[in-house]
Amino acid sequence: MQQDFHYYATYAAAYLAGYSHEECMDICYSAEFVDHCSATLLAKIEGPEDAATTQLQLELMDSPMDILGIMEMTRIWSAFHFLPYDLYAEKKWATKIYKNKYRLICKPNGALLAETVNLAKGKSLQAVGLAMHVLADTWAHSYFAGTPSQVINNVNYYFYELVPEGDGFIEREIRFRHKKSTPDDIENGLYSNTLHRGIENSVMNLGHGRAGHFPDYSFARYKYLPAWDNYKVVLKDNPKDYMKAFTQMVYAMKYLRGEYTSFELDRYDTEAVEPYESRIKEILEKRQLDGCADWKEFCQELSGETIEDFDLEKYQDEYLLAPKPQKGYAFLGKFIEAAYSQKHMVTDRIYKSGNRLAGISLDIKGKKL
Amino acid sequence: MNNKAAITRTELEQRERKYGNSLVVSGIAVIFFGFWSVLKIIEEIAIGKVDFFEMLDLADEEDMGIRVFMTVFFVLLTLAVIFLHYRVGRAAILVGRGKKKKFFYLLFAISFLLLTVVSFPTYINPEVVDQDDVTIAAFFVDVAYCLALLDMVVSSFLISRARKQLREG
Repeated sequence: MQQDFHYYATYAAAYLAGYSHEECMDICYSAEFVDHCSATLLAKIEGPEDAATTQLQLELMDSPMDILGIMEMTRIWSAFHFLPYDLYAEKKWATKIYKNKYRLICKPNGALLAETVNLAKGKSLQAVGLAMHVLADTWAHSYFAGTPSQVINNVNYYFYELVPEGDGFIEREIRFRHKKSTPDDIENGLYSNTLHRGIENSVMNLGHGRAGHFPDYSFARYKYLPAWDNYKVVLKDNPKDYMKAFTQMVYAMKYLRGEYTSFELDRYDTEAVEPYESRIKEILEKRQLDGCADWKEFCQELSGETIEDFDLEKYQDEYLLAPKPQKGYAFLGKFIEAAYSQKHMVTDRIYKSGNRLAGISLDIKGKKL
Repeated sequence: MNNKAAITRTELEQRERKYGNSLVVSGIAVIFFGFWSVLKIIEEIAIGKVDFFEMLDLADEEDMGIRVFMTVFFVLLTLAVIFLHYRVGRAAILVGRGKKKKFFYLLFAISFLLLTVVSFPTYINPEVVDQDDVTIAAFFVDVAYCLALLDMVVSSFLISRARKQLREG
């Protein structure tokens, strides 16, 4: 997902869950910050680089593609952006090497999602925001895995967008080309993606890179052949999925606030969202590359408050200038703690499932920030 | 349509996509092998392993006109080989993607296959060619080429059958 959902939609969901405006701002900032907290940024603020929740393109390009590099990549992307659905999934005739990657496929409502949300219970607002980012991404990034793998993440020419026309849809073939200098062309179905490399563990095959940014557009409805599904067609309806993500976030945050005693998977607070459903649906289905303006307008109407735009540098000085014993109390210090917890939990579960793709699980007990 | 027929149709569509993908892959392979078959000869000439005019049986020919003519003929033949492979490969790709229905390219694919298989004995006859690492590598590449052509032929028949079954419902 992109900033329009991670920042503004999360704000709206948090508000509907009962948080105050200030709390919503902390939550949505943290949710969006997951997409920016790279090793480079952490180095800049003299923070721990192993708390990174993302990798910049240049970091990925520079990343070694040996086993350690792949492990580090898998740890970050599986923990924060492509939460695995079933770490014990079986596939007939598959080798252990293949199954290790197959088991990292992301889908919503997996066991790890419940652990992610529960991890944020009783913790900081930053932890809540981070959990909401992970939750939201399970909907947008379904059927892709947070490890570089051609046999899981590759797509081919069979990629069609279902474009609304009249009461129905028309199928239009999506054309991908590697051209970052020009924006995606919604009208002509021309989108940028990563280069095709015939190497299984190429960084080009990480996540949904082979489908470019397309899965992150809220308006996208499409069908394609995932490399792992034996030529079966997968149909993705992002407007519907994003609405589910939104209602699930409301429910999850109500649980985190204490309204419910436990978090149940596959449960959505449609009742709280119902008065705004048509408005949200309109925003989600609007064919545009960036829905920030529409979401911002909605959020401001919802809360009656002014929502400041996401400012990456907002809390950096606070962390940088804080004395070392106090860094844990800074905004980013709390975020870093939440990131460590999430990364440790996911890595540990992957490791304990017998899968070494994320390396050995990290023990953060006693780790000082 | 009852459940059993619906499942069968879904499986058929799956197979059709699978064979289509095989055609696309083998089509791309044939195009590359077309370049390879020409590159093989050019490389041998370039590194001096084979003398160009000896290859054309013109080593003793003093008539410049004939030499030029044969050289031009060789170049045109080279281009024709690349072009034919490109057409065959592209046709297979288009059929695989459902954008073309005619299978005329199969005639050429089968011809290429037969010609390549027939040339295999030259690899194992030490009186015909010097065997070295390059020869062994070239042999394996030719085997891969034959497999790509065979895959193309088999996938073409299978996709044609699958599409017919889908049309018949």
